[in-house]
Amino acid sequence: MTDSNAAQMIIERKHATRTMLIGIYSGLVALFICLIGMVETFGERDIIGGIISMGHTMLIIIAIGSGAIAVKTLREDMSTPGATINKTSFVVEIFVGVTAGLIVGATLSLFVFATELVDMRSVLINVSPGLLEMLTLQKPASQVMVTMTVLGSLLGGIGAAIFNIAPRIRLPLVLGLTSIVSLGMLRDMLKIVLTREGWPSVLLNFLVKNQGLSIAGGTTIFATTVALVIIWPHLPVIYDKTVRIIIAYVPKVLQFSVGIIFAITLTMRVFWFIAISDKDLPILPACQTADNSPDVGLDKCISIVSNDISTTTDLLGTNLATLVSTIITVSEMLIGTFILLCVIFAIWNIRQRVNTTNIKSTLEDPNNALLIIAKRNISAFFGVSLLVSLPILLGVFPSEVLLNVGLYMLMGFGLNIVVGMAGLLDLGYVAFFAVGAYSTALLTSPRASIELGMSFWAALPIVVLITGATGLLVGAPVLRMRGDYLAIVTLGFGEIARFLFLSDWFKPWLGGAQGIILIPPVSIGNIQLIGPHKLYYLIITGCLIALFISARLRESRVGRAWMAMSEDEQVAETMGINTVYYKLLAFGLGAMIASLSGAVFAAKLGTIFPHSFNVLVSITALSLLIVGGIGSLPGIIVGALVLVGLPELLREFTEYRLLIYGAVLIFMMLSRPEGLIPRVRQTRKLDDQELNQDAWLHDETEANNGPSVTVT
Amino acid sequence: MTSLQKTKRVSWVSIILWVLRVAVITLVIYGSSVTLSSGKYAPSSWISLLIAGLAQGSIYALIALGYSLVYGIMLMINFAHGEVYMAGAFVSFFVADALEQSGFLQAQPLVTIFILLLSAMATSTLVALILERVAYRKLQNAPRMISLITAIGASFFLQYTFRGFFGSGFKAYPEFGTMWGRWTFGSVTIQIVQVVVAMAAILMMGGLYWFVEKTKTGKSMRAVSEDKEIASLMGIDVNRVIVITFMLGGMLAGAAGVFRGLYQPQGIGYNMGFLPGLKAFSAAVLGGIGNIPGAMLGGLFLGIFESIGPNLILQGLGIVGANQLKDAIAIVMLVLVLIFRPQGILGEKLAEEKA
Amino acid sequence: MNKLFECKNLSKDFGGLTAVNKFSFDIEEGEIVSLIGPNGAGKTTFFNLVTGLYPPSSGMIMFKGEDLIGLSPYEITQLGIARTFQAVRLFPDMTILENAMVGQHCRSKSGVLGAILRPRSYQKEEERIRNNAKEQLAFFGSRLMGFRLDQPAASLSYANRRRLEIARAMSTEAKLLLLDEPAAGMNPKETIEIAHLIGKLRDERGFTILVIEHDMRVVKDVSDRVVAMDYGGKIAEGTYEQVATDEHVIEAYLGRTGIEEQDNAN
Repeated sequence: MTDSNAAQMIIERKHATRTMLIGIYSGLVALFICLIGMVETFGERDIIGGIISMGHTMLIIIAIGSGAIAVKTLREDMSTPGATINKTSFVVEIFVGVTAGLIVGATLSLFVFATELVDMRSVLINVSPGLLEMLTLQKPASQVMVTMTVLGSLLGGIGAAIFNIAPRIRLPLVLGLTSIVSLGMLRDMLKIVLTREGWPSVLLNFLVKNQGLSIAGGTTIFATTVALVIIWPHLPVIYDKTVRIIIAYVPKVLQFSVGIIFAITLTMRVFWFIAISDKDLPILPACQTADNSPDVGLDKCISIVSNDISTTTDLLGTNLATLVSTIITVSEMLIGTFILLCVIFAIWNIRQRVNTTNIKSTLEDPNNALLIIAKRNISAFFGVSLLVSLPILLGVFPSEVLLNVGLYMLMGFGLNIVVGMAGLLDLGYVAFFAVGAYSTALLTSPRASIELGMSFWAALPIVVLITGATGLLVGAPVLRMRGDYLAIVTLGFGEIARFLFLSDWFKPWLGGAQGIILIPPVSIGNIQLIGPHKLYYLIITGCLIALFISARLRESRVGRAWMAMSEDEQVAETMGINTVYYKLLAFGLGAMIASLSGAVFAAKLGTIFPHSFNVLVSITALSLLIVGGIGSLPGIIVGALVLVGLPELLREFTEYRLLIYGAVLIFMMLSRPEGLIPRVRQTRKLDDQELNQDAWLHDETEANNGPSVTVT
Repeated sequence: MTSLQKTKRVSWVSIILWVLRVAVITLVIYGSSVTLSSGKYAPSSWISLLIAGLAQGSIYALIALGYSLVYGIMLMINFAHGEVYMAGAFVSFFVADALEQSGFLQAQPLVTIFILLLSAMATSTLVALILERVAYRKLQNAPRMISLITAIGASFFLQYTFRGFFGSGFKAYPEFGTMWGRWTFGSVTIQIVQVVVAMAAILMMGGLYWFVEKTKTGKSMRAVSEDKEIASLMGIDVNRVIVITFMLGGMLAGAAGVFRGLYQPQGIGYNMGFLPGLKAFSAAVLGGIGNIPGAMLGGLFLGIFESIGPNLILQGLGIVGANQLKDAIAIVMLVLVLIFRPQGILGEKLAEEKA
Repeated sequence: MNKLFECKNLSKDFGGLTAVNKFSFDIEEGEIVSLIGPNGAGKTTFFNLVTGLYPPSSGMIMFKGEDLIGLSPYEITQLGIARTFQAVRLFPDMTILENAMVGQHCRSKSGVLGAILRPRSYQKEEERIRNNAKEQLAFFGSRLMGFRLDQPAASLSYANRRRLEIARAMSTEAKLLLLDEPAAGMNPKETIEIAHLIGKLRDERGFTILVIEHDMRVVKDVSDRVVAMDYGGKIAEGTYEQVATDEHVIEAYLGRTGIEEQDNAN
């Protein structure tokens, strides 16, 4: 008893070394993000106003993380068979965490000390007074060195302690803190959304305090998240019960009426938003010229809106506007009435104790057909409503983010056909995006060399065909190339496309470095889709079509042929698949979808330059595919939201976007090559029955070399 | 029925390939004949272009060797190798800058170059080793696609790390007075720096060739590139060989970085490795990837072709601003090589499954 | 007489090495022919030549009166030759049903538009492909059916992978099946079963079969005719008994000494 206790108090030397290594690595990571300037850049963004900045938070997370990782590795080490000590105690774990944290703190304080001795700034441009101020909190370096080290060990200890809290408490705690950090990061966006008409201004004042969240706001967010985490497991049950009661007790007529009126209201609202209200006036010259790549700097746009350009123009005449607004008012009133009616009917029916077998089945049977249909309809309905009303709720600038996410998502769907389905790694995908944008510009802009000045819709089919043909042209020479060569060659093609767009050779047609200007906006009838909040509807339609096409193709003869080809090209060919045809088909279709994205991009900016079409676009598209999981359609959506959406929301990220993409690619390939949301497939594990069938094979091969019998 | 009836059916793919072959050859011949007959350039300018191309080509060759060595051993395209080269050039710039400001460079230019080479080679080797240890070690038996994507990730990670550390502006190498002199032979003028760079690079490649062919370590490298498993059964430490390979590649790339700074002082920046990396890869494939003399030849050929090609062929075809398309030449050549001779010029050694 | 398959003076050089050397041979409809020979005799290379994976250096291959030389592998499959591989090569991440459905590729037509719009004709064809694939899988009893239909092929046992590979070849609706060591890696009981199945393939499904096999019990059980190869050429042909007792064949398996001695004597 005493022996084992004593054993628990000490840790083996290898564990000590490992702990220190973890500390050193974490310290280096902390130093790294300081040196590349991340800490300082994010130091300007407060999580809690005036108290803690995002830069500090990053360092704190690293220190806590070092403690947590140290404890985790310790536990893993000890649970491996053959470990001399196989149980840790709380004290030992805290000690390990403190050690790791201490090393992190010491690394940073040594760095601060070193900056006192040598001037690093002439080489490492980010070792600025600002960074040092953040690290030392404006105190002399000699004083803070000890404080930093102590703080580091404290945080490491906290990290270790978190491991020792019961999961029941740990989960809400961690998620609550995470939501404070993430909402704090998104403060700008929160502000923009909450200042819009329709949101209560109290909310804004309560949550946000000049630079970051207010303390009260932070607490509320924390509390809300904790509450949500606790309720979360019960939500499906509540949802299920509610749906059952509705379909059992509310008359069908009423259900349908509510649905139809709701749909009418939504349609009219969207119509009003696109066609009649032009209050947000989204033509923002600064947004368009600031940066012509798909990630337009949001800050530039924000400054303009604060000037409050608000002119209400009525594009379609007063009569229509009045009509629409009347319909909206009436239908909104009707919804209220009908929902009330539903409740009354339901209560009345329940009171009456109508208990037919039918109702009993809907209330209890888990596989009730009506229930499944109703649930599907309801989720589809809410999904569509959410998608459609996002720009109305969020306004122009968040829509800009969504639009860019959509552009990349569309490219992602296209690239997925080439990479995910047909297994051809294409790193020059930007070329098709560029061809789509350029041909749209050429056909629609009245200033373009050929002066056609077509409308967007007339040009679109031609654009798609041209780009599809380009896809075939690029695909043809690389048909017989092996995978990794193909990747590099397509990368080269992407670069060649840019050189050609830039060159003097094509300047008379494509405008060289000046690009093509005056691309007219997209219009439907009299309505012009100007501004991200209106183009959003265009890109979301495009994405849905691409999603539909991808999903259908995947589960078809064509999809099977692609998949067979990507798994074993030679066998696919022997099984009767014309691989040449299917490779070209993949290139062509992929190119066509990219051209849609390019066309919207051109119409969105009104001007295109060759510099918008560099290799980084291809890499972004590839990254979002890989993060989501190659071949997985929901993965593309999540990938685009995370990899394109997040950096757009946080303008500080723009600088580090490619750095993060690079790190993400390495990390995903090393630890999770199947992606965050892998394509749904059964596990590849052999089941026991199949394993047993193979068991004899191993015995046999051990006994004599191979089961084959030759001539005797 | 003894007569052999050989009815060759011709698929349309091979028809297209033949058309492509003929078209490329016709364009090259037509373009060069137009240029040559127009007499726009004197023979001496061709010689100047040739020497300049040789210098540029030797830099490509040094980088290409890194691709080829790693490919020979691990069968992976180390896409981040261009960044290894960038790292060397970048760090040696800071050393050169410091030495210039202290006046050492002006006093001892040769020693300075030696110091620069040492610092660049050390940096590049370090970066290459970190790359191997952190990113590639785990992927030795992974599918090629996975290692390629990792390498691409590493490439961008390194680029933007350097951008974060040292800023996004372009730097310029200090000028070495004597190096920028010219030699004149009759009507031919040659920059000294070009000759020095070419000579030094060729010397280094000779050293590498000797190392791989004659030393014991070189022998184990060749053994691993023949068959990793058997080599390890014969008692060769495969991991050690891989580390040495990355070291060698890193050293050559670092040296290439310094030569680039001497030869072309402008434009030292975080993304300077991307295009040269792509071109050097093309050069390696051109020579036959995995083949050391092949990479050298491929690099030199690419350099010369890039320097002469646009003036000779593209101008003859009447293309405006032909020199703008210089960067595209390497890629077009890569595509043509991969279509018509994927094993490269000297690539007989590699069996089908490798090339 | 109309042969289903014949090849004349077929040769294939790899660099200096002659893998198949002036090999001539034919198969009649409804026959089961075994191809035997020591490792490296050129049997698998011959399969690769027939299925169009390698172009032959010289010679000719006829199938149903058509010249196969110069055709792509997929065109040859479409004409009615399907094969399995010595080292089983399935599509490991596709389900068992999908693997079998891929075989039907060359017997169906629908393209991209069909897949997206899904008209009645597409649905009918898809239904037919699915049923056909299931029918082939059912040939192997319950082993590949039921819940396994939706499992990835990689989850199968070794023997079942071989069966699935045969099912995939069957679903191409080929006339001639080329089976490359179908019994390799199977236990004795399964080996007997596979021999039985090969017979059934011809009797019930009407396939003509050319099989490479090392297991002489299988060869004996199934073959109408046996062809022995060595050094890329044919060294013996006839019934199992004839070939098994042929001195060239015995020499090929047991060593060269006999022939060398003979040569010396001459």
